[in-house]
Amino acid sequence: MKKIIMLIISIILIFGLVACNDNAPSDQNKEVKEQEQTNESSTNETPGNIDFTGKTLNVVTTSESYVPLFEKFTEETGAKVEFLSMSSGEVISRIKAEGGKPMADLWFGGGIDAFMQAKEDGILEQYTSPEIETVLPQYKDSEGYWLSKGITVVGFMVNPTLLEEKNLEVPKSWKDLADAKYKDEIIMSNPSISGTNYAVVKGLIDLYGEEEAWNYFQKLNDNIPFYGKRGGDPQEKVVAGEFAIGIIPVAKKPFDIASENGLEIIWPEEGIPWVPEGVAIFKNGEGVDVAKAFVDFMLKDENQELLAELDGKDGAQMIKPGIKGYEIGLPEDKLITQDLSTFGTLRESILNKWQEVTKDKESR
Amino acid sequence: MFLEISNLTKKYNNKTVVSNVSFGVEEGELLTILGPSGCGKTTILKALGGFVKSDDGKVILDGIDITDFPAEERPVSTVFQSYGLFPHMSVIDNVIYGLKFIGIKRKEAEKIGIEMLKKVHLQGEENKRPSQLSGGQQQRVAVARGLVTRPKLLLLDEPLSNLDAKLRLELRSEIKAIQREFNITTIFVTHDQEEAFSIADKIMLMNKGELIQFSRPRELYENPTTKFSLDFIGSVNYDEKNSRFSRLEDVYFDDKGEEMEVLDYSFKGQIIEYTLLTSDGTTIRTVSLNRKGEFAVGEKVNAIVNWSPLDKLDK
Amino acid sequence: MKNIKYIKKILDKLLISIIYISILVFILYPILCVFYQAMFIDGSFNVNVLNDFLINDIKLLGNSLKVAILSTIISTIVAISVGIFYLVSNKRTRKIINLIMMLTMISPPFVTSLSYINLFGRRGFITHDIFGLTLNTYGMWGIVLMQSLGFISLNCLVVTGSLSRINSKIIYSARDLGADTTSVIKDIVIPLLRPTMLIIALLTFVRSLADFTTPAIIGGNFNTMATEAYLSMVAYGDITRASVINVVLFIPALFVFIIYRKNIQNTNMNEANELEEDILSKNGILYQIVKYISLIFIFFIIIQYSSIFISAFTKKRMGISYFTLKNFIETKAYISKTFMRSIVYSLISGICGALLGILIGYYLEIRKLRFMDFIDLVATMPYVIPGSFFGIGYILAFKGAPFFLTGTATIVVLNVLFKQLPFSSKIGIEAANQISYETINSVKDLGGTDFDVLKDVVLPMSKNNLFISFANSFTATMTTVGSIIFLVYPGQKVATLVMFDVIQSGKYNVGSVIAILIILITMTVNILFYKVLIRREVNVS
Repeated sequence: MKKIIMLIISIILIFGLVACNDNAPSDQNKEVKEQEQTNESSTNETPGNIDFTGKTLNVVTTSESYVPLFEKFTEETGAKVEFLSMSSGEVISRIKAEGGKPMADLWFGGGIDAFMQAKEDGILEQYTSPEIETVLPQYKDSEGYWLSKGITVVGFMVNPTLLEEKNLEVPKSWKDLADAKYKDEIIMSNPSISGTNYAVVKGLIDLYGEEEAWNYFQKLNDNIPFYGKRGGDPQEKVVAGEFAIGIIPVAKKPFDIASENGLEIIWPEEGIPWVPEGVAIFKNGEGVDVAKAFVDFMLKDENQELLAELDGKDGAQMIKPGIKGYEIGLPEDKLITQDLSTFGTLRESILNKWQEVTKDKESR
Repeated sequence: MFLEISNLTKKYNNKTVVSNVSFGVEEGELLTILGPSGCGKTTILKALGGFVKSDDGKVILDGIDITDFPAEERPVSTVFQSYGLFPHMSVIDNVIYGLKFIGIKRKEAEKIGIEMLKKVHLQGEENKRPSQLSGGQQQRVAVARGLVTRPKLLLLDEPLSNLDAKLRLELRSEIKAIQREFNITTIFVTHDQEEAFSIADKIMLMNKGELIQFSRPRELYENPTTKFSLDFIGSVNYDEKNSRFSRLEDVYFDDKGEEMEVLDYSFKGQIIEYTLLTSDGTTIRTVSLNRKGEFAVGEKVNAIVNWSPLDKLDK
Repeated sequence: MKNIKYIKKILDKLLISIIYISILVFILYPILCVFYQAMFIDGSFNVNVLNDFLINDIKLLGNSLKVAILSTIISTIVAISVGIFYLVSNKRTRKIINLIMMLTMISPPFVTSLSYINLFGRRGFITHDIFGLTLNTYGMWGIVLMQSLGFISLNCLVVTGSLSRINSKIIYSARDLGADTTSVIKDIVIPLLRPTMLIIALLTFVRSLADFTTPAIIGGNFNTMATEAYLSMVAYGDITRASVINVVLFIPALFVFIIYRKNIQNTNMNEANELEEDILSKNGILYQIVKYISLIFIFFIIIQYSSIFISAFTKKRMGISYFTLKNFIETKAYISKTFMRSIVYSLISGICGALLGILIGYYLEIRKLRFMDFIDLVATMPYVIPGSFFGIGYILAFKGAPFFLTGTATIVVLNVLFKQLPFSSKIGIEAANQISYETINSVKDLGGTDFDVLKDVVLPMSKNNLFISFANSFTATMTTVGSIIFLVYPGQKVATLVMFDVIQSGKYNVGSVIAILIILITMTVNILFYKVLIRREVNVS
């Protein structure tokens, strides 16, 4: 009996605490917005060549492959770099869940759709780097909230041996993938999590128009047993022999892996979806100034080339003209004409519709 | 001999716990194995029960060599010091457990069990759990359980050590009575001499794994064959100078005896124990029943001592 | 002198307050926050999301329950079998079983899923390379199998612990009365193990419900509530939905908790003995059954860990594996500071948790403080709460005033510390129970205060238990994923998260390397602490 009374008292006390707590974040945001207005004028200043020894730059990024770039930055500025790798959709989700507090200082990589949404949600810092002049206009936000570090293009990774075992030919086009003969052989990732796969959905909508695109996805959905929970899933599962066809972001590394494992990379005939990968600075992070310095750093030509190397991208995938990259045979003309402006604004509705279409695969 | 043990030996990690022990027990006899802790008595019991494999030796029971039989096949029942009752079964289920292995059906078994419980004065307790019984009652259940299968040999491993003095006496006579009634060959292990003496037909005295002496109780008491027997059994007065010994009861007050001085006395209820100093400086003790009053410390008394020579004993 | 006594008294009161407050704030408060989040929207009571979930997604609950029940049945049966097998085996076999159990307990929980894909995937070693099959082995049975394998060892440990508390004379008596091994197992051992069976069933059930990493990796299409809660946080940013799911998950867990508390009072009252050898002979059909079940289990474990080991040292090219150390080199890029961090967090969790546990035991059992009972009740809750529930609770509880802890190392450490507290407090209570009143009263008798009792008697005499507590908390924290996966920011990345990450991306070889490293580190630290805490004592005597 005593225990129950104690429990009830504690609960009442704590609910009181919780109720108070709930008000706090919104107060915080209001305060911050006010501060922002007074600071706007000063955001266009560039930080000079400052020494950041002792400071840490916290980064969320999409993979572990940028360590050499981070290390070079540390060498030059003395700032330590800590990073966590996460798909772009996950970043937004977590920030939302945690009430808008920034997870890090710098957001490096991930589908631009998530960045656009983040800009709408007001969690990005505005910054125009002096180096940004030479970047092509479609690769930077006009208001300076984000820029790109290159585009990711989409293709198929195919296991011809596995297909041969089933007497199937290697698919060459999007239309092929919808053919029922490939049932259970295809894997793609959940576009809510993976920016690349979101680009696939958006890209095909832009290519075929809404109605036809959604019909297509219905058919494609029948061929996919389940959706991967990370952007990198399809490639690795095809390599592991679990699936014959994976919809993947294409770069040099996949080409290398393909040749090592007897796989093929296919550029789909009708068109190649693509998405710029974003780079942005989180508002209210502790290392905002270090992040700004990093943006300057990364826009220098020599670092752009390093980036191309790390990403295994073709020069055509970089944001500044004339940067040397790898030759991976990207047929530039096949890039779908996408409406980038709606990439972000339509994100929510597209994802909702997608969830409906694939309802049988996810239990949502 | 109904039970014959020959050359029983057991070693644990190079330490010899039982060393070449041989003895026999007649049918219906109660043998007590007596000795200090660590003398090997429990190990012998375990070997007889089949829980421990001896390194050497034979065990022949009623003409059958059971040396290599596992415990479940031996017609031997053991009552352990902690009783080993099945805590999750009722008293009656505990008692009749062994009957199902000799093919007796439940109804019949219950009848037998209830009879046996009567014999140990536990009628009415059939459906209780062991934890609901007192120590003495649990012990009786253990005995009943062991007897109900009519084993050829009953082993009791210090069964009364966990009980208080009064209960011990009570149960001791009960066990003896039952043993007589069923005429069951029994081996009873204890470290308590009084217990051993009061119930045993024969006593086997052990020390450090060796059989020291095997005789009837009186024989063991009056004619110890080794110094250890002398020391362990009863109380002794030593006179090293003259190489002789006497028991406390060999000293008695008599006006014709030599003069001694009372050094100390101990009032023990029934008896009074006196410590006396003899004329040649030896300290001896004696007891006298609490009848005639006490002597005081320092008082001079006269006593006669019946000494026995020490050299008759082996080591 | 009087001043020192006064200070000691204050210290005592301080300790008590710290315990009360920290348990309430760091366990009860986050739990309540989750409930609040699930049922209050914008400050008013609103169960729409809850209802929505119950109506539309009830299938998920069904999935979770199905998996939990199956895992519970399988792992309980196997754990009992291995326990009995252990009972009947000789010292050497027992040592091997112990080793294997330990190995599985110090590994990250999803290590089994890793090897599952290696062995039974479409290109798995067993299914494809040996049997030439190409199966789609994702789905419910894969999850059930892998969960069971993961849970069996802890259950086994509980079983062997209980077996050692059975008075061996009971088994001797049964044999004495003519029972062969089959009868002894059937009539004596299994009935005496019933309370234990209930406990391990309850624990397994709850752990299965909470497990999201296994279904995430090999569930494929089959979603459980735990994975859905994870997805809600990670893919849809919907913390309300995540809270709702966790609240629904909590209900069966709560039942389990109540039954568990009732039963745990009844067990573990006696001292554990060393299990005697040769207590039963190896015959009879029941023995054969448990033997084969145990051997199959051991076999599975061995091939699992072998496959992980092999996977760490090989790579596949054109479908053929070749030996290489490249995986280790690749891994270096992933781990850098993370392992150090894992170790530090685990050490803090281990040491503080152990101490806190002993303190609770002391104040509850020895001082018999009034509200300690309630504190103990709360302290046991994290045992049955899913990791993600606890993690979300921490986010909700500490993201705002006056804490602002999200994104710090503090919140991660606090989380892992308090998640392991149930075990530590149970051990602490047992330790306190083992100290006799006479010893404690002697301190007072000779002029010491309560604080001296704690310092000079309770703590030193609890060394064994401190170690057990530490080993558990350290190991659990080294291998934890569930509760901290939402709390970690770039500055707090730990080894298990990297491993989970890496496996999700399909880099299984690197995952294997990290798994091996985690196992090695955990083993080493445990041995080190064992040597420091316990060995020393043995030498003195």
